[in-house]
Amino acid sequence: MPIAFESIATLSQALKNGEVSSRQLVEQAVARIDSLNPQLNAVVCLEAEQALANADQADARRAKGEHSPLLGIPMLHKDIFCTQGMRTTCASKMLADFVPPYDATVVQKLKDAGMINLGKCNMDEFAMGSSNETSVFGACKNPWDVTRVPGGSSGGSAVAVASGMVPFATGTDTGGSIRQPAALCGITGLKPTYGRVSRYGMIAFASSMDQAGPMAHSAQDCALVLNAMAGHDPLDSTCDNTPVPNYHQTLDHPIAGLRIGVPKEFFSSHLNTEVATAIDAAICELERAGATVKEVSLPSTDLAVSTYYVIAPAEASANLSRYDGVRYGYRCEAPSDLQDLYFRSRTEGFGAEVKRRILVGTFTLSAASYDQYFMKAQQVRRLITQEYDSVLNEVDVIAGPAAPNTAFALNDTSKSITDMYMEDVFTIGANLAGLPAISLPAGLVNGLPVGLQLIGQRFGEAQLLNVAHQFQSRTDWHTRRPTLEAVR
Amino acid sequence: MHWEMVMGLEVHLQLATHSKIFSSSSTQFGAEVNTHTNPLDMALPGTLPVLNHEAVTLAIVFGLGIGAEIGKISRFDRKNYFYPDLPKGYQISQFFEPIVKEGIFDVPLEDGSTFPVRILRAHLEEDAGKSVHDAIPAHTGIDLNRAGTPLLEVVTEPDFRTSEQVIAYLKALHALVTYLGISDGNMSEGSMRCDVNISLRPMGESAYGTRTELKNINSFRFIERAIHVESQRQQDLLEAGHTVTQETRLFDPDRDETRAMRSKEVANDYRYFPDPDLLPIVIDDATIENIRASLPELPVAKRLRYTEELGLSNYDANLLTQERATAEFFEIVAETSENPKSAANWVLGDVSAALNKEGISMSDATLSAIDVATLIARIDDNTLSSKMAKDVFDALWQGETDVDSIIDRKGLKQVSDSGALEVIINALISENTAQVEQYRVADEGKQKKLIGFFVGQAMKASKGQANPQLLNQLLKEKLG
Amino acid sequence: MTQASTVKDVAALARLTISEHDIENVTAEFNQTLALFDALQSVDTHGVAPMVNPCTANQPLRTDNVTTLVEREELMKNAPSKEENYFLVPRVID
Repeated sequence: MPIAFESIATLSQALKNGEVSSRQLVEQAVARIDSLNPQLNAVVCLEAEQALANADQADARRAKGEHSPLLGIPMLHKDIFCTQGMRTTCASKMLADFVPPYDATVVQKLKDAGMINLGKCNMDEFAMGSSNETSVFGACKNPWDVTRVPGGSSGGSAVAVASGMVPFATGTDTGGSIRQPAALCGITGLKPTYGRVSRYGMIAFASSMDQAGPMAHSAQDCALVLNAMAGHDPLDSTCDNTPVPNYHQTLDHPIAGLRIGVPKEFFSSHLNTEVATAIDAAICELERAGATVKEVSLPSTDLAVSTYYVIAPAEASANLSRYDGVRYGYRCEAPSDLQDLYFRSRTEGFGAEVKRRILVGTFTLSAASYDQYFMKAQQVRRLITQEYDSVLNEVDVIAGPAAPNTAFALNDTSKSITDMYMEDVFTIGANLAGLPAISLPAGLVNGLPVGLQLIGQRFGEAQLLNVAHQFQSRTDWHTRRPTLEAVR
Repeated sequence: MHWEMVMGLEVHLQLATHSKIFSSSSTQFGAEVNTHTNPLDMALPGTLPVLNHEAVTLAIVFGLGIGAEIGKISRFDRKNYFYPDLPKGYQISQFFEPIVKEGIFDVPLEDGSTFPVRILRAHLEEDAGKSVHDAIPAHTGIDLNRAGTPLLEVVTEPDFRTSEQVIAYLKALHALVTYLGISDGNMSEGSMRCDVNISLRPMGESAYGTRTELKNINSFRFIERAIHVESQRQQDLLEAGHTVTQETRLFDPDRDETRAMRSKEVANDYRYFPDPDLLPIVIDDATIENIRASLPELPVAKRLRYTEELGLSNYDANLLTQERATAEFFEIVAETSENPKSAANWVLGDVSAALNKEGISMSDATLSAIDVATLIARIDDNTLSSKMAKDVFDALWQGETDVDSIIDRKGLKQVSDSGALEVIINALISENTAQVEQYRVADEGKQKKLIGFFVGQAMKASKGQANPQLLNQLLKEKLG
Repeated sequence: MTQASTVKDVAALARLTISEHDIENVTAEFNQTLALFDALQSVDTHGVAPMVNPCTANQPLRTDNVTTLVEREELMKNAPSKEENYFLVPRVID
């Protein structure tokens, strides 16, 4: 059976029925990656042989009567997760040859659930970017239009799923890095509540906002995988020990009476009018499903961008100090002394955007600017969080666009640095407040996908997935596929 | 001009945990290079810190030990700087909200008075690794075994005016932390390291002068010397009309000088900010009270008890309480022998001398306190003369046990049986009639000399085992 | 406006070099980014506690047990320069 674009649920059933083997799934995935990747550049590391060996083991387990839903399903990891024995680069020259001696908790958990990891996905360098153009491996292309960006930073993961290479890939989201590429590539991506999924082994960008999540075709698939990804980890002090519900079990709950809040600030001048129309239509669909919709206000929406771009680079500036050319990672040629080793290794090893953010973060933390910038941003962060919390006291979920535009052109030099930062205006709030949020396909504008974003209450992933699944039961946007020439 | 020295101290104590503060690697000293390491200690990408419970408990124990306020909510912050033995490029420390806040530590002085030192704060932090400069030619080698060892940094106000005060404080602090069992206090292994902030000002002036920081001095002797050398250097500068530069300096004991540290030359901005990987440490009252209830008796309380209840001098009480092992040894001896003064004399005398001779500390000695107590009891019950007691002590020190069997084996029993002594005395009187006659007519001075003669003869006859006091008394009776 | 010299100093704190060729551009971008932060100054944050992390739990505490997760050889496998089990850097003089 051809597996491209099939859901995890379908593949799992086929495996259970013996219609297909895990080895066949992996072989097909590898073949599709081989044929599409030269064009899309979504996958930066492919370990086919190891994956096939693991697939054979999964098939053996199936043969012995094991039927866990993820057993034998092929997948890819964003190249930000440490994978034992498999090169992990964060799309940086700094880690071009780094082979971790341990697995991230997320990697371990999905391995334990029986998923077959094929390799690693392209991304923005150290997850810093909204276009996947800051990768040392070069830009990844949007399968809907290869002259356009897939979004970022989890661009490779979004493209791998959207182009049917694998049914699922991991992503991470610090300011929208799962939701924005999911929106731009027409797939479903969930950023869980901060602390729902362990950060251990996930290379840090901004520690107080980084969160791993699933990227797949549907909310149903995201639910299946989140069941395995989420949960307490004694190796991450910020990982919550609230029990993990079965996200799959509540997908079919009716959403009649659901209270949806639509923030008027999300429909501001930043938002492309055609995207706005598509989002309006999607919200109407939820209303038809029985939800009540009301306008709410998040006045600090624009302020969130300023707040985020102080806090995230500040945390990153410290998080990236460990890349010093001493214990691992890039070291410059023939350093004359210790300072030369530091300066050249870091200046040569990091790309422009990473250095830009380290610079800003170092500045806002310095003694002379701390109160004015960093501390102020942390205070505003609390106010923004309170704003979200008070809205979420009145409504169950907040709905709006995931991104202000559809996929934009590669190498668009007309966009300034700060224009680029404004791409995250709708997604950043959930990261600052630590709330769960999902992006799901909600229309096409000029042949390019649009993403509807739903933001939920803390640990309200089950509700978000339920609402998204109900939407997907009534619409077919999530089943639309790009028409790539290479697609067979 | 007369100058006044002003000093404040920062002491880093390695806490006596089994594992590191944020990882499960061993903290044991002296392991093979880079073996006490985990991914976190190497700062591998994606690793995260998880706080060791015991480090928190030991910090609270210290805070209660000096009567300081415990921070009910404390936090960890990142201190950012680059150094090859600092793997993350930042040190996790407590800058904004330390776990131990202000307290006053009463340092005992030899004369029995105390010198109050204001403790500003004590905070938890992680140690750095070790830079080894002489292992590989032209290179510095990095060993991360020590990286992440829990430290408690104890910071004082600038309350010190003399190096004697500094040493007294450090000795008292050492005694306190070893009592409390929160650190082994082993200075040669770096378990207790001291930075001295030192400045001079004209006597009578209230404003502080510019200070320098003397880093990582790890013996009492060097601290005294470093302070002397650095204050002299500052004085020379000031008297020549120069100014002191605020900087970090190293004491070089070989050249007997201090010099600016090259690695600290570049101005730094540590960019402290709360570590987002760690959450607030919240300590409730019940935890504090439980820890308080488990605290041992502290040196200050012991000293008071030794002088007031046991009648010891301040001097002896002070010496006995400097190390917990010594105090505990003394207490067993004193209680078992029921003779605290003798116990103090033995512990500070023969026992200390024997320890010094072998260069070991009380906690390493195998000598039994019960044996020493029995020894004292045998002196007190006249079984042993003080000379015999020294022989028995030597045997005990050599590893023999049980005082009474040593006495038996060596035939050291003092003859205190007046019947046996009378036999000897009667024999002496009949053999030395001339001396007996002389005695009877002699004046008091001469009589004393003659008694000495008879005691000597009787001792000889008893092979040294006669109880000298009893002998004296019997001789006087018989001769008089 | 932050001056180029300040930007260079900040870069040095982070052990980054900005070439003479790039400094003008980098300084302009730096100021552009700082301008984005101006909006924060108008917010009244009087009495608002800084928010460090969205997680509201307290720090969990680990039992003081020793374990070795990964052996030294594996941990040091990625080292760019090592000898006699030390990581090597050019000789540092204190």
